[in-house]
Amino acid sequence: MREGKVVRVAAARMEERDDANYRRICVKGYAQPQRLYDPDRVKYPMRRVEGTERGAGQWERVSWDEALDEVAAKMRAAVDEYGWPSVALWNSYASCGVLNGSGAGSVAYGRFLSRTGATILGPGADWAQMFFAYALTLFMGNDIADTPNANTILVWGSNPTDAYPADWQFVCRAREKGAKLITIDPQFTSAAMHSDRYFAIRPGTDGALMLAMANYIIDNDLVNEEFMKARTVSPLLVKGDGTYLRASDLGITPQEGPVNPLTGQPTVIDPLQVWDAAAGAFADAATAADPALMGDYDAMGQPVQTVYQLVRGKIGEFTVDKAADICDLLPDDIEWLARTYATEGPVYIHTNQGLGHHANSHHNYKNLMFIAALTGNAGVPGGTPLGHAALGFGSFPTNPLPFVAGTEKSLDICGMYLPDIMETGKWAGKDLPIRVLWVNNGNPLCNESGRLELIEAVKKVDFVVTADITMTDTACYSDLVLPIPHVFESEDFMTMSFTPYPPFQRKIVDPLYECRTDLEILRDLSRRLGMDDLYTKTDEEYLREIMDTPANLAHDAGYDAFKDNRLVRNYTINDDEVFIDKFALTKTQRLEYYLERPFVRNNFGQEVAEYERYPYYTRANESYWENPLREKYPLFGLGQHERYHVHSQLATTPVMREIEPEPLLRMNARDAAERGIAQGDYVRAFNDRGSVVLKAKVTEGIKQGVVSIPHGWNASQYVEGHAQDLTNRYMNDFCSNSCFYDFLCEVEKWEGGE
Amino acid sequence: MTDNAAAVAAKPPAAKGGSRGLNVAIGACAVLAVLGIVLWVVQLSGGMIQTAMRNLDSWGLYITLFMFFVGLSAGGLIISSVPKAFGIRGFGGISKVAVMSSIAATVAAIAFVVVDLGQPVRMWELFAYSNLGSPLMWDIIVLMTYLILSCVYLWAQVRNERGKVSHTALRVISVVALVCAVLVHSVTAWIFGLQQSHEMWHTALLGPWFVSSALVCGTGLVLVIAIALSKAGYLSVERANLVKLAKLLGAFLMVDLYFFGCDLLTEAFPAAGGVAIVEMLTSGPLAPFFWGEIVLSVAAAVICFVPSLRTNPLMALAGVAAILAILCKRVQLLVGGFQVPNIEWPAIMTPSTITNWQGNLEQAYAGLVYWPTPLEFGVALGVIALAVGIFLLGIKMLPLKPAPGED
Amino acid sequence: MTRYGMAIDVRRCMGCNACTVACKVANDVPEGVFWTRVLTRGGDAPDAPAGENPAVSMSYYTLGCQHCENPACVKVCPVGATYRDEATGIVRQDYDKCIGCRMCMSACPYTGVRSFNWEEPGYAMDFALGDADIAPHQKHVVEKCTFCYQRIARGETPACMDLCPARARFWGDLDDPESEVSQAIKGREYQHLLPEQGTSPSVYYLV
Repeated sequence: MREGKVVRVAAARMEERDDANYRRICVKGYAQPQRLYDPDRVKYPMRRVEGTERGAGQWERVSWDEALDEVAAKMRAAVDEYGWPSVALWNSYASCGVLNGSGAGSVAYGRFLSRTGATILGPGADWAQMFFAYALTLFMGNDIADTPNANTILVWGSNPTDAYPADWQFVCRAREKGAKLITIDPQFTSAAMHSDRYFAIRPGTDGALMLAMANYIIDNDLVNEEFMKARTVSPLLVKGDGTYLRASDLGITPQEGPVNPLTGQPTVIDPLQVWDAAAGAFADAATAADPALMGDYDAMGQPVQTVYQLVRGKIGEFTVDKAADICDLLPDDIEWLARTYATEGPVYIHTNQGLGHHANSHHNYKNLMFIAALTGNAGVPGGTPLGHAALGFGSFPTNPLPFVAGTEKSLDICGMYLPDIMETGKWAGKDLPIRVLWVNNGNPLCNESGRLELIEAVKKVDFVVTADITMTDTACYSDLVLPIPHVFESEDFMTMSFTPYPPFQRKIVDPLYECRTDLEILRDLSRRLGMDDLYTKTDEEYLREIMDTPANLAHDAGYDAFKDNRLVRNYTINDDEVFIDKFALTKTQRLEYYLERPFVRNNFGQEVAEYERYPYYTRANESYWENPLREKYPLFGLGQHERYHVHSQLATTPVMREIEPEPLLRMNARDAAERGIAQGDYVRAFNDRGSVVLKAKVTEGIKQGVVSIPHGWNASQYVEGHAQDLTNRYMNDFCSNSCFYDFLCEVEKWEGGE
Repeated sequence: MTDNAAAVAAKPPAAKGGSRGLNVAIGACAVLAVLGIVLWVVQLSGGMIQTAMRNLDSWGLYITLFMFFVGLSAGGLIISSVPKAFGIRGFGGISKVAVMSSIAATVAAIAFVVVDLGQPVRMWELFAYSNLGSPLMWDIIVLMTYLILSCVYLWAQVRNERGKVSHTALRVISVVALVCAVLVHSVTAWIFGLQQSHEMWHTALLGPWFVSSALVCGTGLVLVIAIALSKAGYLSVERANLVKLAKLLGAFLMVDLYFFGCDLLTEAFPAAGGVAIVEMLTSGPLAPFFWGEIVLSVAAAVICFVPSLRTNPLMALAGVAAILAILCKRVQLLVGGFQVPNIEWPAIMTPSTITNWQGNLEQAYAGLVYWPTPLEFGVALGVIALAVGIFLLGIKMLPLKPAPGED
Repeated sequence: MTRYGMAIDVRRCMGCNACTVACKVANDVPEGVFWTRVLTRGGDAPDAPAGENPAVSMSYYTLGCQHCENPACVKVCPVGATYRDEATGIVRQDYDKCIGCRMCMSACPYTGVRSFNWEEPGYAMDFALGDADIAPHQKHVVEKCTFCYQRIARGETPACMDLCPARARFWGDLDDPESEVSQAIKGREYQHLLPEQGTSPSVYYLV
């Protein structure tokens, strides 16, 4: 700080034991002073000029009173006619602050939602992985700090150098201890550059590779049977309806267990069964001497088989040769990968969301669990099929009661369904007339897949208000834009953290311009809506209520500690041990590659297909080799986490744009040559949905036949169109994940302009 | 570049009209020089971003012309001093005019350094904080000395004619001036040649080569001036003397081409890094200047060596061709020095990186890495006008006509 | 005698430009100027590899002033505006003295590490970022990496060293065998850029 301004940002020093692992900053952190004082910030409440089109870019400055009176009036009108569900809060991941963060987990929005029952529209991004890990199985994977224990690191569906630079140093440490580094990616990332082997797989086909590896491992007796029996769901027996065989199925009455502290009800003990080959009989999975991995059995008249047997029966078609064809890899390479994975463990699969952006993506996670189960590369130091910054999910304990101010249950659905809802006025067969849209903590019209459809849907909403720090693409399509502060301008607290130090967001400078926090805005708005009692406390009082639990205070980890000290360590995180997920949170206490009771993320009456239970591969929705559409649009689309963006944040931050002035379409040099495109030419990428004009980056750093669109740029930064205009809104209705990469397109040299 | 040549070539007709024409020419030069100064002020106030020079090609037209004018300044002095220093026959009464041309060219060379400076108001530091280890410092010292010596030498000749300065004294001065002339070219060469960072420049040959190039263009200039002034009736030079000058020019051209050949062979022979430079010259972006130099040099040499071609107009043409050939050489040397970077790995490009920054480095280096902006041409024209003006003023004001019996 | 130096682990560097921005902010480096940058050794564009996918290769080199023991730039400066600080081994630049002749830029073999302010320095922000005690940037003079002289004078590390996300940068006194940089170099194969230039840089690239 100098003369009241933030002039430099540096990484915080941690306790010595954590400094090496968790002291971190990246290029985007260093750039924050310029983000804070970004000339592009929204300074005042802005209203679309009367009579202009939404998105036309004509704004007038209004006072907060005028702005909030208008919001209140629009909301009241909608509520009077259609009820609170007609008001929707569309959010994403921009903040998880307990005061101002997204959705139900903050004072601002949680209290509002629980009082009113307004609709929540959540993001579609990343739900393939998140739904599998955090909803279906509760498998978190090993923390990144475990990487140095690995003998082999497989970077697969992640980019630890550009997208998650804090992870990279761990990979380096492992390598310096002799670990092998392998990268599977259609794009040649910096991690690929440092790798011992690099495999340029065809986008969207990773699942087939996983299954081929599994088959190779099985066929070549590389299976770790001991691990399979003891630590995985493999020996569990499955009945005809897909559920597990339990003791009660064999006529043994379930017993009462200890009382569940959450429900207050006693738990039911009904042990899962396996076939004990030693005893030649069914036995409790936990105690069986020698559980059989394969076999069909008769359980009091109903046929059962082991999970392993069932799965093997399902995946046999994915041979090495077939996968080589699907993935465009050499059979030898696939065999090498499978052999290395099985024999050079522990293998740490570093993966984030790169495997999660196709319509077939969610299967990848079952498949990964399966190959890990086969080889014992899970639940051990250095071995996990889901390696990433997992520490954060053991979040800091807080009191969630201040998030609740009523008993209304909000409909919580993926915002990507907005076009359907606006088209039909219904959700799951019931009326859902959305009239007011409040966009917060996100910029869906820039970052979500299928942008043009979303814009059309937004245009159909009567009134759209966006709270953001800069004039985002979504703000551009709003009727009213409300300025909120940068993180340096307000106090907040995040329970989730990727270090042992939960971030307390200190207010370093007063809010610039007329910015107000989400909570302040809602405080004011709630009064205008006649809910004077919705927010009765000050920010500090709420923070104290949330943070000052008796346990936290006992550990000197309450509000005052955070406010006074720079960093407070999360006392619930074991001192020096790195987090290794040993399946303690899964229902079976085993590594699960089979889902006993799969359920959908957003239920609108759809069926759950049988294959949702087991490892599986099916082609992507649009981006697949045999698609006849490829005659018109031969190039596979792809995207990436940009090094100089946090999604659309920092899009206009000067120093970032000095390093990377404009969006670039990465395309393979041979593809470019075929199309007469030279380095730096402006090109038009297009498909039936839309098009974008931007500069080409011609490189051999991307697989032939694949192009990668930039991410996080404002519409105004493209020559024409928007990269997300190419993408598809289609999602599988199981996990409703945005399919950013699931599109085809063609690229031509752009002849306009000059 | 042709503008400069045009400015040089424009002089004889200007002088033709006798004293009125001379006055007009001086006036025109003054106007251009003032315009140049105005543009220089624009360059300083608005920033050198208005030039085409950038970090990776940090010198341009000004330093090219600095080299060029240092070379031009040589001829006059050497032509004039060699006969006196060695006590041999001269070239027929052109001695003082030749020295005057040297003075004018030296002023231009110094002025080109000045307009290239980012902080000309700090020039006094050159004398206050002189780093005597810097070749640029050497050059500044030698150039200043050279300018003063040229003036002294001219003055001594005039005084000698009036019997005020002894022949011995004149001879001593001419020897000193000759040494200084050789030094000034060598030192200028060393500004470039001592930089290990530019493979093209870093050669011991550069010193002698600069001397030979200076002799080529200097002799060329004297030849052109002699013919022009003869034609204008300012003085009359015997044809034999002109032929002598032409033969000399031919010889110098041969030496210069020989050095060129030596350099190319040395660069190319190891088939290593130097090949890039040879390719850049012969078939790359600098090819027009390379072949321009070769063709002009050969053409000039042919005129000089074939007796039947040694008519006055053709000899004047040979002089102009020789001057232009050396100008081509200067462009090759300066731009070529920046054309091959030591580290060409791509990185962030900004408007201050390189002249053609709006692509990648490969594209920036694909054509000529540098080409001057109109502002640079304007300032350069102003400097040249200043030099020409000084020369013409000399013709007008000073007793430069040959003394009776002078050879 | 102290001779500050830096070692950069090319086997760790991921080309993220965090050092670039850390430097830029700490020294309030004007727009269009970078004292240190990431260079891609590979194809013809930043982050583009050489070869044909998937058989491609690439590496990153962060490049700033090499603070040579035998600096080419110091010798040629006519007024001593660029000089080697014998107490620290740092090659410094005195903006007030610089006459803007650009001899040093031409003499330095490390293409692009020196930058001339071709116009009045411009900034994205209307107030100065970074350290309070940096020498103010000037128009028409040459500038370059100072090894954050103002910071090391206070006993801090250069801004780019504060935290490299890849932990690929090492800093300290090359003459002190116990320093972080000496320890990092010990036992590692290293490279100087353009060793044939004989400049003896204080920046080591661990390969």
